[in-house]
Amino acid sequence: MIAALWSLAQRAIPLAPVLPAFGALVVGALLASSRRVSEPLITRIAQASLWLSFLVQLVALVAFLMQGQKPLDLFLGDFYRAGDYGFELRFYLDGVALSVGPLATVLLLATCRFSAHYLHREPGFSRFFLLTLVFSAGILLLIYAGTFDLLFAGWEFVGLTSVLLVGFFHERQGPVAASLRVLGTYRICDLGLLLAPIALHLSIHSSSFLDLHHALTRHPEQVPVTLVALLLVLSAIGKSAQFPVGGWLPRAMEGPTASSAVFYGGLSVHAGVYLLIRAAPLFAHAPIASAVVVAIGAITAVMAALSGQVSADAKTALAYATISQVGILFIECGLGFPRLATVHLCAHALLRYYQFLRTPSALQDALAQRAALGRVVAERWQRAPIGLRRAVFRLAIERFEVEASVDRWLVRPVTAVSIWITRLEDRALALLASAPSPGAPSPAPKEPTP
Amino acid sequence: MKLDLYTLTAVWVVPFVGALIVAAVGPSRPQLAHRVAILSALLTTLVGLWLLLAGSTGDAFAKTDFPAVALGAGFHYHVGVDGLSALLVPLTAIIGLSVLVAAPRQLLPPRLAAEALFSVGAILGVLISLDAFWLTLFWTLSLWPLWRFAQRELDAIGRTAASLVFFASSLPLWVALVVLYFSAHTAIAPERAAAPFDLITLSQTAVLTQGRPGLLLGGLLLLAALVRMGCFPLHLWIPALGQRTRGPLSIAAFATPLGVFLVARVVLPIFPSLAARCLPSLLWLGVLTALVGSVGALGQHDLRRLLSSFWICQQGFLLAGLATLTQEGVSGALLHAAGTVIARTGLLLISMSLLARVGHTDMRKLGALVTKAPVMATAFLLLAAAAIGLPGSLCFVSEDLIAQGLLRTHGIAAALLLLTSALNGITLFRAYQQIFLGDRGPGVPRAQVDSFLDSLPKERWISLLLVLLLVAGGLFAKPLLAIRQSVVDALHDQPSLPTGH
Repeated sequence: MIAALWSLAQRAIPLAPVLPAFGALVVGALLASSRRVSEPLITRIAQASLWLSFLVQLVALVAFLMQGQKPLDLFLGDFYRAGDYGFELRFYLDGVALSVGPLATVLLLATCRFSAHYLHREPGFSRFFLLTLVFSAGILLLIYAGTFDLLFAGWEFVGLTSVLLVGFFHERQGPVAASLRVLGTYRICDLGLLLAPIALHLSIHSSSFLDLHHALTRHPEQVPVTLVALLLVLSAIGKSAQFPVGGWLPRAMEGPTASSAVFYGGLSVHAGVYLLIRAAPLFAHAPIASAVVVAIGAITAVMAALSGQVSADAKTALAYATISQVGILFIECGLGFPRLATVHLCAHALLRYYQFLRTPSALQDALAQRAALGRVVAERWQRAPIGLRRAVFRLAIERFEVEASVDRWLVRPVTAVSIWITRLEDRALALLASAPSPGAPSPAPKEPTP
Repeated sequence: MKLDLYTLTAVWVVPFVGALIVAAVGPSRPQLAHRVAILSALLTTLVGLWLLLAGSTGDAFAKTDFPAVALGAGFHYHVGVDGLSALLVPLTAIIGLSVLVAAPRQLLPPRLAAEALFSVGAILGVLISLDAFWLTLFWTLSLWPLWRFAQRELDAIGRTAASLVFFASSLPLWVALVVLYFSAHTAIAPERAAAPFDLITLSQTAVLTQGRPGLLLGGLLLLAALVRMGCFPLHLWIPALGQRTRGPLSIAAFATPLGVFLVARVVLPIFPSLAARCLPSLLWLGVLTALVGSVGALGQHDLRRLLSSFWICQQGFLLAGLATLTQEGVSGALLHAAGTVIARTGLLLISMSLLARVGHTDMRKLGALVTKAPVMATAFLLLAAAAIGLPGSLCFVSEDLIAQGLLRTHGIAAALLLLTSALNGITLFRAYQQIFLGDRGPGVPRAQVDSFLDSLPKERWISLLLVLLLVAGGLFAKPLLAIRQSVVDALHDQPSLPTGH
């Protein structure tokens, strides 16, 4: 009986990300057919695919618990192969995946239920559900992936849908600009997760978690542990909004409340932590990288906590509180407590999800609380010297100048180089053509009239 | 299924004949001319698909299916399809068909349609040529319509750019032909007098492919390829023409990365001593080109120029991947050649739709179009996502393989190349936002947005076809890699070439 259930779970678990992807495909096809699609139909498709996915994971969880909690490395074959390198379709079932996976699905189901009413008659109703389903497929692929390659595939879908949902209200310039900021951060930081598996392939000819674990146990000298770990940290800080690239998370609150809750309260923001938990054996052999993780987590926790205290609106304050708490999760990972981090992750995801969903009514709650208790003063700062209070307040309100520095030292120089290249090309061509050099790119001389 | 010489020849003859008919009937009956153009492109596509299905992709650089046909005076007609060209032939034909079907009519008068069809035919001729003379002839003819168009309709900079690519990429090939001819008729290589231009026999002639003659001949061919690819600093013509020419012709003229094809078809297998010397430099040249393209694209405000810079960046990817000479790098580069062409064609077609509807492609003067054109916006987003290598797309597989191949020997080069990919993502998403989302641009009349037309059915079908090709290629990459495997093996296993130098 147990063996049969375990065998069934092994066959079914790849369906966990496939089912929401199929749901997304159906919704996408319905939308592309140009027919008017009813809101209840979209909701039902989304919920059905997520319920089925949840069922599959539940079977796997029960079977996993009954067969003695032995991790399973499930190899389905090569996606493609060239030379020595192959992109393996490999799933990995263990306590971490089977804790986070069902929890993620429950949160996504709750989001669908909530959004069916919250976004009723919104122009982007179907788009929201389509993106949520794609996100679901991405996050479940990320959670159940057995290799860093496959994890990266899920990671990318999570990133893209996050960006598109931040810019959900696309008729306003604010969300659109915020989504570009999120994309920029993601793209640059994702380089780490692109390069780390390649480095693993070169050193141990695999990027699977299990092979990495074996290699670290038997031949740790073969693995460039510090390099790979630091590359993974780069990706983790991007997705989990840690110092110095965490400025995108408060901006991401421009999206619908439901997506803020599930993405930046519940799941997406914890993807970086999940990556660190998955790579825990690697960090156990990489003290420098672990120290970096602890340092980043500590700096972020302090800065975000202070920034959150001077935030004027509830959603931004909550975003900073999330960043701060994720910083603590980073510290746990860096100190080598992956199990504690897993429990903390699940609890934090649930709490923040609930808080984000309730943000619209949080102000009313705060007013009611104030009316009942009288004026509330931040007494914790009262004993500090006035000079220190002013300095901390100024730093906090300016978000410690982190984002401004990134703009000043990274974004602006790159943009300036781009403009310089364009001018140089124009001048060189003008010189060749013996024509006057155009100051800026000019339109074609003979354009058709519209 | 068995191929014959006539079917193989039809792949370039059909578009040539179609172009002649379109040019002849176009002035009096433009509707008929347009139909003939599409019919010719469709027939060419069918022939191309037949070649893919019926041709054997197992043999690389040793095609013996059809012996060379003697034409007199040492000239021969020698063609064939192998793993290198089997996929590019139908792909080029599909690109040609897509352009002729989906390009807005006001941008595609009969004369331009004939020129586009002619370019596609010439590119197909290059792809199947196994003889240096025919290859050079088709190569030159593929650029001829663009050069003529530039002289006819563009400003001084456009004319200069067209002349730059036309002459700088064709003349070296003609010079190489002359060298080949005289070497065969003198004491240098008298055994080649019977077929002085045959590429397969040339690859077996050490006297011309090794030493100084090899460096001279191979160098000329490499120069032609680098100009055609638009490698830094020979890339200037791409942004100039990309911003000035009307899309249909520029897509048709550059529908296939012929520069990379020439490197893979001729330079690497036939001139190994030159390749051995140049490969490390070519690898870094590819990385530099990719960097210049991606950083250049970042600050652009004109969509057509942005796509030109993006194209330069992709050429850098191809060159770097090929120059690794690892199984992964070469496989990735050859696959990327297909993926990037499809994505770029789709994006260029959308830029043409914008040009036809609002009269310009300046993104600062656009915005908020998603409300009126959701299908066009979705198509742009999907094509852009595929172009930057979203998992599940063809470009994801190819970029992954290129990076894998590159990191084996050049870690920093791989990191820089992946950085360009990240920058491309930011660039294309910013373009999507500026064109389709947010507010109307400053000074943009409300009427421009209100009267904006979404994609027409023909444009939708072509966008869907291109997206499906990218997704299908990404999900089923194994068969595509298998088609190119013989070429990859042949290049990788060459004893005289430094693998993973």
